[in-house]
Amino acid sequence: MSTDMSVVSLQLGQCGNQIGHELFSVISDDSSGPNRKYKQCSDERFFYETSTGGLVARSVLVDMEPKVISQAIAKASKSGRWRYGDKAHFSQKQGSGNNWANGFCVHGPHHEEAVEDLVRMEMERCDRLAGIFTMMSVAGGTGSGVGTYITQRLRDLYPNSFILNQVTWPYGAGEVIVQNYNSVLTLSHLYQLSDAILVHENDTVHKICSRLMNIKHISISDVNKVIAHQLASVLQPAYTADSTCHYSTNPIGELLSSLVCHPEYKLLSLCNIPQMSSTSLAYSVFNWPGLLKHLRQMLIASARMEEGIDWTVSAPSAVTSGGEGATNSRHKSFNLSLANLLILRGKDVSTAVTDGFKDPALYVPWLKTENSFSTWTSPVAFNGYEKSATLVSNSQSLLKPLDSIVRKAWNMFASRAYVHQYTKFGISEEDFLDSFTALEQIISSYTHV
Amino acid sequence: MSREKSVKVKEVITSLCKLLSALSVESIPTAEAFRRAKFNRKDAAVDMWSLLSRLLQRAFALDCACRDSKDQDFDVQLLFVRSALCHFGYGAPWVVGSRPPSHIEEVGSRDLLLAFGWVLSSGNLLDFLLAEKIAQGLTPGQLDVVAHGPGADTTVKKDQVLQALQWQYGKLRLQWKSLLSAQEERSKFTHRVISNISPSAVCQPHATGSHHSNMTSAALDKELERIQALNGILEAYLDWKLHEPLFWCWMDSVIDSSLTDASEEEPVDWPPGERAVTVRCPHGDETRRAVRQLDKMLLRLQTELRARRIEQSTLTLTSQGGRQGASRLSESQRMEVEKKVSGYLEGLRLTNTSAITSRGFLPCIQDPQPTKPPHRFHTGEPGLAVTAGKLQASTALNELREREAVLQWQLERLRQNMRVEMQRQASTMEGMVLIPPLKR
Repeated sequence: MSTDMSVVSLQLGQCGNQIGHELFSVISDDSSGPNRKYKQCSDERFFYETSTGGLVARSVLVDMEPKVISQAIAKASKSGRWRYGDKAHFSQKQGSGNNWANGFCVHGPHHEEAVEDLVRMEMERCDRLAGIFTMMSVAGGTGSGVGTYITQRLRDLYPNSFILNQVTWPYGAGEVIVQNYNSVLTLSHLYQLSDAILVHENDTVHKICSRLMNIKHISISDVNKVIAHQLASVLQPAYTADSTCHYSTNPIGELLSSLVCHPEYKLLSLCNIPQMSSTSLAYSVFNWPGLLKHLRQMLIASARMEEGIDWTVSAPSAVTSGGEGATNSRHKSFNLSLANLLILRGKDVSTAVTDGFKDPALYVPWLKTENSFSTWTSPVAFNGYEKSATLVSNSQSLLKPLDSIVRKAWNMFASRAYVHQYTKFGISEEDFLDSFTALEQIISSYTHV
Repeated sequence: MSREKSVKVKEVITSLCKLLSALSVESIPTAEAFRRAKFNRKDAAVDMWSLLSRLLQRAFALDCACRDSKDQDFDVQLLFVRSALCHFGYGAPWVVGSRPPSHIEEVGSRDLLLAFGWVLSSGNLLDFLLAEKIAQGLTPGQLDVVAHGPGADTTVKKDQVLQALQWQYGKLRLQWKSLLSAQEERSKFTHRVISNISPSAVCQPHATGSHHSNMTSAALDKELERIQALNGILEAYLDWKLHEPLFWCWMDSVIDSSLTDASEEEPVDWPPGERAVTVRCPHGDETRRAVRQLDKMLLRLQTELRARRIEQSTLTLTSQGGRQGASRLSESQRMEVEKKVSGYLEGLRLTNTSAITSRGFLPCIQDPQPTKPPHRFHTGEPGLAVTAGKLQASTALNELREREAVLQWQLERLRQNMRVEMQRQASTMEGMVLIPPLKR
C-alpha cells in the first residue's frame, strides 16, 4: 500500500514566486477536468485540504521584498480554487540588490532558521515526501543567493530527500549587469547540492511567446505562463514504466533515476509541443506521429521550439560503412543525449509510436537504450491541449548557452569589474575562481560526453 | 631474566604472526618455528621458506602475474625469491652470489629469517598490505583493476565502462532513497495504527522517527561483520607496532649468531664477469658489523639512560645525597660527552651509509631503460636513475664525489685526533717540546 507522494515547493525570489504562482494555477486548472482519479492524485501531490475543504498549496514563499509575495498570495486567493498557506511565507523589507554575495552570505544565514521552520512544517504535513521542488532565477540576488543557501541547508537537513531545482536563465541581453556573475556562482554551487537542475531560458521562452503564440506585447506573466505550462506537464500525474495501472506515486524519484544517474551530468532541458495561442488551438488538429517527429528533430538539432527547426541535422545512421561514414554523416551541431524522458498526454496516447527516440545513434555509446529512454503517458488531455508531448532531456543542448554565460562572466572577471561588490560581503576572488573551474568542468564533461 | 625475555620474544613474534594472518598472508609459521629458525634447524627452514615466498608474492602481486607457488616447481620458486630479494636490495651471498644455491634446502633457515627481517624493514610493506586490506574492506564489491594491454582504445573503453558503472550506481542510490522514504512512510502508518489500537502501548518516537524494531536486516548484519573484521585487523597492527622494537632486538641476536658462524666460512670470491662489471663494496660485511655495533651502543646508552633516570627518580634527597653528587656529571662535562658521542655517531653514519655503488651495478653511459612504475610501498625512494642494476655514469660520478668528500672529512678528523694525541704525549714527557709543522 502506498499513498501518493507529495511535493513541497519552495518559491525563491521574485522570479521563483511568480513562476510558482503560475504553476499552481495551471495545475489547479488542469486537474479540474472530469477525471476524478487524476484530480485526486494531483491534489494530494500539490495541495492539502483544510478542515473547511479548501485546497492549500504545499509551498513556501521566500523573498527579501514583500511586494511579489503579497501579489502572489492575493491572486491565489482570488482564484477561489486554491490558496497559499496563511503563514507559509517569509519576506523582509529590503531586497538583495541583485547581489549574490548579499543573498548567500548575509540574508541566507540571517534568516535560515525561519525559512527552515516553514519548510519543515510543510514536510511534516506530507504523509510521504516525493521531494523538494525549488524555483528560482539565477540572475538576481535573492532567488540565486538566498536560494542557493537555502538549498544547501535543506541538503544538510534532509540528505535522503530528492531536491529538484528549477532555474531560469536570464535574457542574454539582460538588464542586470552582474547577472552572469550571479549565474556562475549559483550554478556552480547548485550542481553539488541538487539532484537535478531543470533549466528554462528566458530568451527561448520569449521566442515561443512571440513566434508561436503571437503575443504582441509579451509580459512577464506570459513568459511565466509558458514556463508553468511546461513544468506542469512534467509534474502532473502520469503512468510510468514502474506503475502502469495507477498514477506514479514517486514522480520525482522516477524522473531522476531515468535522467540524472551520473553525478557529472545533471542539467535538464525541457521541450514541449504543441505550444500555441488558445485561438489557434481551437482550429488545430494534431496527430502523434507528427508531434513526435517534430520533437525528435528538435532534440537532435537543439531547437527549442517548433518553428525554425533545422531539418538538415540528422543522426548518424548505422548503415553507413565503418567509422569514417559515421563521422561524416554526423552534423557538427548534432545534439548527443545521455538520457531522454518523453511524457505524452492526451487522446489515443497508447497509439503513439516512440521508436524514433530509441535510436542508439541519439545517445552516448556507453549507455544502453533501455537505460537512456523512458516514456510516461497519461490519457488525460493536458491544460486544454488535446495532445501534448514533453521531452525532458539530459543532453548537450544547454552547452552553448552555458558556455556563453561563463564566457561573459569570465570577460568581466578578467578586469575584476564589480568584484568588490561581492568581496565586501564575503565572496572572495578564490570563490569566483572555484566556481569558474567547476563550470568549466561541467562544460568539458558535456562536450566530451 | 632470560626466561622472561624469551617469553616476551614469543609474545612479540605471536603478535607479528597474528598481524600477518589478519592481512591474509598464507602459511604463517608458529612463534616456535621462528625461534628454531634462528638456530638453523632444518624443519624450520621449510616453514620460513613458504612464509618468505608468500610474502614476496603479495608484495609483488600488483606488479607481475605471480602464479600460485603450489603449481611452480621449486627451482622457479627459488629464482623468484632470489630476484625479489635482490630487487629489495638484499645482498646476502645466496641471493646475489655468483654461486647461487641450486636447491632450496641449501639455504639455511637463519638466512631465510634474516631475509624475512630485511623484507619487513625495507619500504613499508606491512603498511601497504594494511592499506590494501582496508581498501578491500571498505568497498566490498570493488572490482580489481587488472591492466589490459596498452592502447588508446582500451583506456577509452575503460572510461566508458566506468561511466556506465557510475550511471548504474547513481541509479541504485536514487532507488535506495525512494525505498527509504517508502519505509519511513510505512513506519509512520504503523505507528498510527498501533497508537489507534492501544494508545498506552505507544512510546514516544525518536526525533528522526524512522527506526523500527525490525531494522536489523541481513544487510546490516553483514555490514557489522565487515566492520568488526576491519577492527580486528587494525587491532593486530597496533599490537604489532607496540612490540616491534623488541622484535628487532631479537633479530639482532639472530644476526650476531649468524655472523659468528659466518666467520668460519670462507670468503666469497668475485670473479670478473665477461659482460658486466659487478662491484661489491668490500666494506659490506664491515658495514653491517659497524651498524650492529652502533645499535648495541645505542641500546646500551638507552638502558643506561633509563637506569639513571630510575635512579634519579627513586633517590631521595636525605639518604643518598652523597651518592647523588658523585654520580652526576657536571653540566659542561655532559655537554662534552654528548658532543663527542654525536660526532662519533655522525662519523659512523657517514662512513657506513650504504651507497648505491656498494650494491651490485652495471655502469652505463646512455640513458637507462624506462623505469617500472615505483612499487607502491617504496614511497621514500629517492628518484634516481637506477634500473635493475643499471647506473648512469653521471649518477655514479656524483655518488663517488660524495664518497670522496666523506673520506676527506674522515681523514681530516683522524689527522686532528693524531695532532691532539701527539700534543698530549709531548706534554707528558719531560724535556720535550713539540714544534708543530708550519701551517701553509
